[in-house]
Amino acid sequence: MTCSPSRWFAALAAALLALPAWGQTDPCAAKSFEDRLLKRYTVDACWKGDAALRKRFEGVTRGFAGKDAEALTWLDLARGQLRAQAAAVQASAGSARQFQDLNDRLGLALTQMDGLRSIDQLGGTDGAQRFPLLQINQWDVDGPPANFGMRHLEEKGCSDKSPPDEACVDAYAAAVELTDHVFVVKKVLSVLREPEAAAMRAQFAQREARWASYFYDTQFPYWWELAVNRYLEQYCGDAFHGKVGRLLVDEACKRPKEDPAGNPLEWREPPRYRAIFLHPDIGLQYLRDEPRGERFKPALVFQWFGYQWWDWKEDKATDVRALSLVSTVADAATQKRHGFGVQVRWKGFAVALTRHGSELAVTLNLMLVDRMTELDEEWSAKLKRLKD
Amino acid sequence: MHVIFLVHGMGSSTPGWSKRAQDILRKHYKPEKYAFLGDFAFDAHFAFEEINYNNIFDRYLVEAGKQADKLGRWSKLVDPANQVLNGLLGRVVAAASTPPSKGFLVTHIADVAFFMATDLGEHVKSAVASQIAARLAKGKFDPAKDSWSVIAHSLGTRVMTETLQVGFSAAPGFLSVGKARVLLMAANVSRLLQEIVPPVFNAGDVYRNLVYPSNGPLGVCRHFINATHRLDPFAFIKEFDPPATFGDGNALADGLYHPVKLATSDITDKDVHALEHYLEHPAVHSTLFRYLLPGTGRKQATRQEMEQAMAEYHQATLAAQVTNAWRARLQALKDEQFQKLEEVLGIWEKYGDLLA
Repeated sequence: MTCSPSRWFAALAAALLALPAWGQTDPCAAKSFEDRLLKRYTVDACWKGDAALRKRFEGVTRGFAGKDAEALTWLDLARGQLRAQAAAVQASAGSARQFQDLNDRLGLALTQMDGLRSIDQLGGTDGAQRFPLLQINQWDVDGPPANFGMRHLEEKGCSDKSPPDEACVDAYAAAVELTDHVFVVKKVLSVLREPEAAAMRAQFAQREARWASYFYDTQFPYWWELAVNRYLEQYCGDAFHGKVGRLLVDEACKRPKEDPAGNPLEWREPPRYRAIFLHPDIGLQYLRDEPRGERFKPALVFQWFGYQWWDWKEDKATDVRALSLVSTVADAATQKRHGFGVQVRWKGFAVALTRHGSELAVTLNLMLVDRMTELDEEWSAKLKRLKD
Repeated sequence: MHVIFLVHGMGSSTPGWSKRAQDILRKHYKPEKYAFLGDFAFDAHFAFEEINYNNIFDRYLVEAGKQADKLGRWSKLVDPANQVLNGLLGRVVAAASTPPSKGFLVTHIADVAFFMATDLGEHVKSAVASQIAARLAKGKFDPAKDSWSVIAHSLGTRVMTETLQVGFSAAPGFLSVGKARVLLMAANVSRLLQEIVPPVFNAGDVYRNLVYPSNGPLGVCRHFINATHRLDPFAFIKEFDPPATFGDGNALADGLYHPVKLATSDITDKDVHALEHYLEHPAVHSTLFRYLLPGTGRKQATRQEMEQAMAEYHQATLAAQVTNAWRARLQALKDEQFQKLEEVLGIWEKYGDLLA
């Protein structure tokens, strides 16, 4: 059989085309056993390149993807996986003390898991007491999976040895085996923890939205009102602020739990009520005894002290109500300029009733004035002149 | 992937604030400079995530400005108000109708006061927690093989201390995504703020909380790096310098707490307090790289590499526009009294004047 020049040319071209592939560096190659181990789990292509590990990993993922709490299939799977991991860890525990600890924890956890009939049993105080080792945070394993294998390599003096080193081939194989176990255990943990992680994300997002609503969907708090309210919340409970809360919204403010050093152990939730303190605003006042044409006047409305409260609808403060003691000050000609009384507020509309000498004045906040001008054109023209 | 959250300090930070800090870390992350980095390319293994919370203070100040403007338009009512209760009412109205200034005290110190003494601090913490949780969500982060770390600066150190404290003690919480690998605190003011805030605003105890490094299930991170510059007036006052009993009592003994104290001579920028100024220093970024890499932290920069890096750094020190007179004025701040809140604020204001 002869080789024509064209066939030689084709073969040469094919070889040249293949060159880039030869030139590409292997993403999993490394100078030392330790670096190679590091890459195994940090570069996706490396651990996925290991058929056995990929198969186990996919088995876990697939099993949990179809989890069904009612049928307990995912629990069965977790039970099986953890048993397998515990056995594997036990078999190779001599090389790392932490593996023994992990093994002990997993072994006890498995015993408790056998008594578990439903995932719901894990929740609440009762669940925490009955199944302490099944509280997922007890199963923490130390850092990236490769750390375990790296310790083993260190113990065997193989960390910096290059792959052809005969003495370290076995140590590397053992390190890989150990680390693979941890990798899969961590995968199981991450899947088991995902419902809690999802709940955390939802709760964090809601809390953030509610705090924003607390400031901007209620009567705007001046900075001194912020400080006073923070102080009141700090000392609520059975104190005055707590009693007001029970009266207004049927719940007292709650100081987050603290450790003995005074560090909070819980988030401070956005309250459903807040004190009003030294809060000035502008309104339009009606005084009947003033000369005709001057009965409506702009007035300063000064809330000395009071409370506002609201309901949470999803992430938003709604149905905001308030009651406060107020002074109103207007440039009255015949009556006392300063009057004292009360103000009620509902959904942003406020009316103050204050006594100015013998006369009772009615003061509307600007939002209510705006609303009224929308309803009556004649009023609109009259009030607009005063406002401007 | 290893996600590195960057948390800003006090002052007017806007989205994109962390770009310079990111560039500095990328610039120094070179195997040619530090051989222990091996062939772990930065962008293939690390991803930055910028955290922003200054918008919460800004929004409040904008709203306060609007309220002030509304009241200010009715100044003719202030005179009659002054006649009520010896002018008390008038004084409150005047305070409410004064728009917030844009000076150093408001842009920096007001942030601190709002965070420590009002519920804006709760809003900030919940926003920061929410941003972190969103980035560590399923699909973007796999706790089985991915890691996360935090670099926090100045007020951000206090924000993160409080966020991690509650985030790891409350359920559902951060334990569901695992502990952070590295917590780097630059210009850590967490203890200072604990000490200067009036006791009514209970600030806990940063040496006896959950925010410590541990190899076990407790704590919030594996490694805690604390960087302090000797001339940084936000960091040297009531410096974060934990005792041997820090955390669970093992953090220091186990070698998981890494203090980095920068000398007074090491200045490459007038703003010694800036995060970028900290990250430029070889002792800071090389320690960070050492513990960011997966592994036990055994691998690190060699003495020769550090000497070379420090030599280059000192060249930059000479090139910096920092005169001896300016340096002396900065040094003089250390000689001031700083036991009381007003004394601390006074030093910070003088520092602001030095930068102006």
